[in-house]
Amino acid sequence: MNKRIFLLLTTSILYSLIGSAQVDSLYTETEPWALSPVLHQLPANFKNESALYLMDSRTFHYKFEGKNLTQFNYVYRLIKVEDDKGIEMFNKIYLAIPNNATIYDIKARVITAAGKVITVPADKIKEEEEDGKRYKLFAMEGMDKGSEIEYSYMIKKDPSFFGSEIFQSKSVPYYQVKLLIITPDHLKFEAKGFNGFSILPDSLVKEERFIPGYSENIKELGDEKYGLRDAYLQRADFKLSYNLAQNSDVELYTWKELARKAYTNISTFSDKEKKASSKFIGGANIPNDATEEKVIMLLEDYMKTRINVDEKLAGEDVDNIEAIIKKGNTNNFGAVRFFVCMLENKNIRYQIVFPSVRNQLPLDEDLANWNRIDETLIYFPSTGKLVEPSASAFRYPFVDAYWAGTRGLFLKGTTIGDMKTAIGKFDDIPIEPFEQNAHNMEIHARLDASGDSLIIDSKQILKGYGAAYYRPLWTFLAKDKQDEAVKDIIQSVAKSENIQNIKTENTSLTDSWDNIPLIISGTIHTAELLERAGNKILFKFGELIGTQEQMYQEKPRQLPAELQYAHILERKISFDIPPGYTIRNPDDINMNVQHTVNDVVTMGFISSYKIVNNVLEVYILETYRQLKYPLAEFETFKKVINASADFNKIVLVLEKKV
Amino acid sequence: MKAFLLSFLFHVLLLPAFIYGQSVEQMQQLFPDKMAVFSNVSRSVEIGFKKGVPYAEANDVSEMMILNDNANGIYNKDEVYNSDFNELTKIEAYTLVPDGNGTTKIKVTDFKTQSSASHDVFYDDVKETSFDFPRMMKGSVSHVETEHFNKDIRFLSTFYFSNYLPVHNATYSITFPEDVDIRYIIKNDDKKIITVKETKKGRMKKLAFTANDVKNYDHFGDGTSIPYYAMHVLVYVASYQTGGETVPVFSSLDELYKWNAGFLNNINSVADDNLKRITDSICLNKKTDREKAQAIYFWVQNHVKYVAFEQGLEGFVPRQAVDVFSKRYGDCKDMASILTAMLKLSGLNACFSWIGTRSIPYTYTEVPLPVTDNHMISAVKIDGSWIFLDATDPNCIFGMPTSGIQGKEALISISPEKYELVKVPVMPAVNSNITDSTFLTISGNTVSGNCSVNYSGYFGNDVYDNLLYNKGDDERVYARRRMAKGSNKFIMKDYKIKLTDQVNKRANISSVFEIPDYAKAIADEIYINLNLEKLIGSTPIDTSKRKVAVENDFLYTINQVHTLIIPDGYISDYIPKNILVSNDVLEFSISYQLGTGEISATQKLIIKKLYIQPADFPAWNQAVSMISPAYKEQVVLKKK
Repeated sequence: MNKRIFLLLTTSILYSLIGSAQVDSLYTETEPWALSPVLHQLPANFKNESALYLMDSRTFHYKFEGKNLTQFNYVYRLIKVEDDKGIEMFNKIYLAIPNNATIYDIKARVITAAGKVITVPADKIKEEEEDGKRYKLFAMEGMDKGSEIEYSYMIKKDPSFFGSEIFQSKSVPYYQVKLLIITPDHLKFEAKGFNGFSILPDSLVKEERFIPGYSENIKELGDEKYGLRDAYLQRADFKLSYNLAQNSDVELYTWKELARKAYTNISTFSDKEKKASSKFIGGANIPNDATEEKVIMLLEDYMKTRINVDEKLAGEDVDNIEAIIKKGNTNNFGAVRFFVCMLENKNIRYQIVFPSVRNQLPLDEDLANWNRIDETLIYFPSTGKLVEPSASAFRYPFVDAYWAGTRGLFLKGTTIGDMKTAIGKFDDIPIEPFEQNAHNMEIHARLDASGDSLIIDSKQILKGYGAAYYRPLWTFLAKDKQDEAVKDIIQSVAKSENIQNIKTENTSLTDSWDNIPLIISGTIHTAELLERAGNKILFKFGELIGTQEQMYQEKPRQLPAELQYAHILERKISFDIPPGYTIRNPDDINMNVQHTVNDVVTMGFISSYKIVNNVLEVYILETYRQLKYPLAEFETFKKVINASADFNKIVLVLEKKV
Repeated sequence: MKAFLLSFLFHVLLLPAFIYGQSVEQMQQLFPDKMAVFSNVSRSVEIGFKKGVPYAEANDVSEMMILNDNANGIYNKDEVYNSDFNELTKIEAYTLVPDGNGTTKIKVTDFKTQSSASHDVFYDDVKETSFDFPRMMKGSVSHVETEHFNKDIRFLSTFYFSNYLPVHNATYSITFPEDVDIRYIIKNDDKKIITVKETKKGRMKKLAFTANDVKNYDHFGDGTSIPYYAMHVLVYVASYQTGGETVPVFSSLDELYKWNAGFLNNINSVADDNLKRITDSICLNKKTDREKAQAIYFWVQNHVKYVAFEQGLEGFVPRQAVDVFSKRYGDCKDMASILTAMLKLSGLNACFSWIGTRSIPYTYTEVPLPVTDNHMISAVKIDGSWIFLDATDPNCIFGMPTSGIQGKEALISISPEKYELVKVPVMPAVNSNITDSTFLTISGNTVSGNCSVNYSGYFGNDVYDNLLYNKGDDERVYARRRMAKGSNKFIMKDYKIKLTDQVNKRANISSVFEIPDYAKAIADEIYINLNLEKLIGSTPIDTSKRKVAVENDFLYTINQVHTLIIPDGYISDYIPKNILVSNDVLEFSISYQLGTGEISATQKLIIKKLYIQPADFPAWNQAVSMISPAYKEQVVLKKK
């Protein structure tokens, strides 16, 4: 490939470039900044959009400055805005500056609908720091409907050998996007495109290697109910893989190498740390005859009730175990180290796991983007279960549900001679099975003496994740707020100011050890569910199961359905039919929506009834056995979700017997 | 001087002894149910002089005692704010951790200072220094002490005695030379918990305000803002002496106005041809002053976007109208600037006006201080009365104030020396209407219908605002949200939005819909509730818990008529009784009417008060208790 030819290609003005259907000039480092910019036609397929990225071009150029390899990022964006919403989305621009980087050559201007060019003055570009990140920020001047905004900037920084660029947004489509990675010829990068983003093979141009990527006509991808969008975004990941000047056979920055390094970082402790940890464990009063599983449980609980974990906590000694014990504070990394140190003290076999978090960008098993490693779990081969050291609200075996039921990089420790190291391998991270996660209900209802109100004995029985997300209420809320929260939970059955016999059982975080159900019960006195039609009573029976999620009228679906955790909802409701009354329409209760694969119900909602001794007994079973249902099964998924919402609409007609 | 020093020592030494004298158990007894309390919150301010100019130095101490081990992690984070006007000169923080015999002090070593994110402001100079307290376990006491330097004594900040947790001891004191006139205003202390003590040592005076065991406040999402109910004191300098002369600061509203008016010097003093040209073209063919003002307001609302830069004095000084014109963005002051300039260019009598939005509870006469306003608008006098123009809402109706400034005082700048204080009117309930006319038919259990809803006043304003930001699929989602009734099974089949009067922001949304399972057909009967929307919720206000007023955005009227076409072969068998409830807070009625082949239910609601005060809660609850049963009544149709 000849660089000059590509340079020549780009001398044509952007207007014609945009006019053509395909992304062009893939090998040019920067976009032209026209002296007299011209407005562009809005591509026909993007009519009615508030704004459109006509071009988003990003170049990552690694080159030597003297002996130092330096990274130069170039960003160019051209955006057409069509209405007030578009103006408000783009009249304030924030440019994020990576750590230890300088930003320069910021150019920004508006081409108004009338073609007037208004450049943002340099003194109007401000800088600020928020949440530990630095930004340049400025407002675009003179924007009106139909105008275009154009800006570009350079960033110079120490080289990072990993990159990930997303080219899809929630609210603004892209017409054309480009990515270009330029490196010295001996540094070979690998790049991979996802969800429609194309990467071309790298080519040598003089002494540099070029890897271009592109895509076009990228629609918005918004949030959807039961949808996890991140994995579906158009993006490109890249990393340095070979240094041809040294050893062209050895791949750099592999997952295996990361496993070794991370393992050393996490599990190397000073003698002082080991001593402090040992003394700390002494306070936990672990019985000598405790099983290995019990020891894990006790260590986790003891650490979590004494140490506050704050992800954002920084400071020199924040992950030093002595300091952690003294201050009672640490960050996620410190919590993992401390927990591992205690496990080693007790000779418990463990593996460190980096999960491919289901609601974030996934880890790619082929392209090792080390920067994406963020969360850490501890896996116990002896029990096949997990601990999340940084989560103060979870207890063994429960961890953030989105971190489980997915793939993950497992670091299995071993020793070679005197050296501790680890072997890294991707494997499945288990998640507690669906029948362990329950939102069950037992309800008994009867009319009170007046006949105008109901007395409802309500019992909500939560297991597994169903309980794990509620239990923190009893630990982390003050008593008065706990009481309010419990009332709210009971009121999901029926609204009332009159709730008696409130009882909560198994509210301790450690009740999750044996998955003892969390039980919230109370007696509700309410007129809420009864309506009158002349001399008949209409009992809004379906509302007893609480308001259900519905998907009656949705935008066209783009994502498969995914759940936080697979679960089951078993509900038993009984109702004393008042003496002298009959239920006119009990058959309305019968519902059956199920989906089976190989004779197994993967999802479903069934309800049925019988009347025994003038008591109506209703049984409802709702199941979601899988974490994920493909797009092809989405219509069925919707039907199951809507079945429970349909149940909500069941009204029983009570009539006096003649 | 010696006496003063002694009192200072006394203050420093004795106070902590008193605090730590309280054991965790005693605190738990005082405040059961709480995981932590503020054991001590104090501020001492000193007024000093440099070259005849007064300044203030404030020392703040805040201490929290943890009453429960589970609190570790909940109250660890703290932050301190500072800006150009309120410079942070010292910060020290630590936790005192019980260690069996006494306490161990663990110092905070990491302080992080960065820009403070503000929702409305794009860029300002407010910084926040944040840090984490170590070991916040039961019995621990966190301690943070700061010093701030105020180079301008106009910016003494408000001191709150009550907080989101109970406060065991709250003290504010200010020490000042005797010829400084210090005044104060105490707010929300009906039970007179705050004690005020004035002392004098030599030429120095001291005012001290103390409150003990102050209950925490509860904040409500639909309630008024915290300053409406939290106990606080506003201390300010009315005047001081220098070189034998009295220098007024904020001795009266006149002085506040003088200070404010200073920010308008040289604003829009140079004529600009471009601005004149555009104003002329906007006003072309506009005959009356009202038409001109309306056209200019409309233009600014549509062409200038809200972006706020507030660095130092940028927070007070409006930008030149001509700059706002070319940049097409600005904050409230900038919008007031271009409005006022254009209105004047068209020959109208327009003025800059300061105003406090409804989040601020003070009036100018009661509190003649900068904290009383946070907003700027333009006021124009047409046919003898003021019209308040706030262009920060792109769809606010000309002639109506934005809802957030109703009932507030506008400080109108007539000239550098002269102002007028005018109360912005509260728009009556008849101005903002939702009028819904719906026709229903029944087939099986499914109710089908078409409805047509007119929106006016603030409701219309809201519809126009929403349409600005909801396009395509989002517009359909918005329309469905507005139209939905009956149950969440409401299926909107088709809809149409008509902007019936773009000047007065009237809109009509109509839809064709279906609600499966809304009616109940059994044997020869059909039951249906004709109150497809319940305008008043069934939950009464918990008067034992809630002491904070409910704040309505505006007064309004809703009129809904649901007309059911009786299916062939059926007759009406039962029609519920009509009801009417009327009191100071609201008027509500449901009335049923049987016509030829149809039954209609008309629901009417008028909200009469912007603020439903705790004293109004019984009236509200009584209305709820009458309305709830009425909502449960169904119409019965029977086969002939």
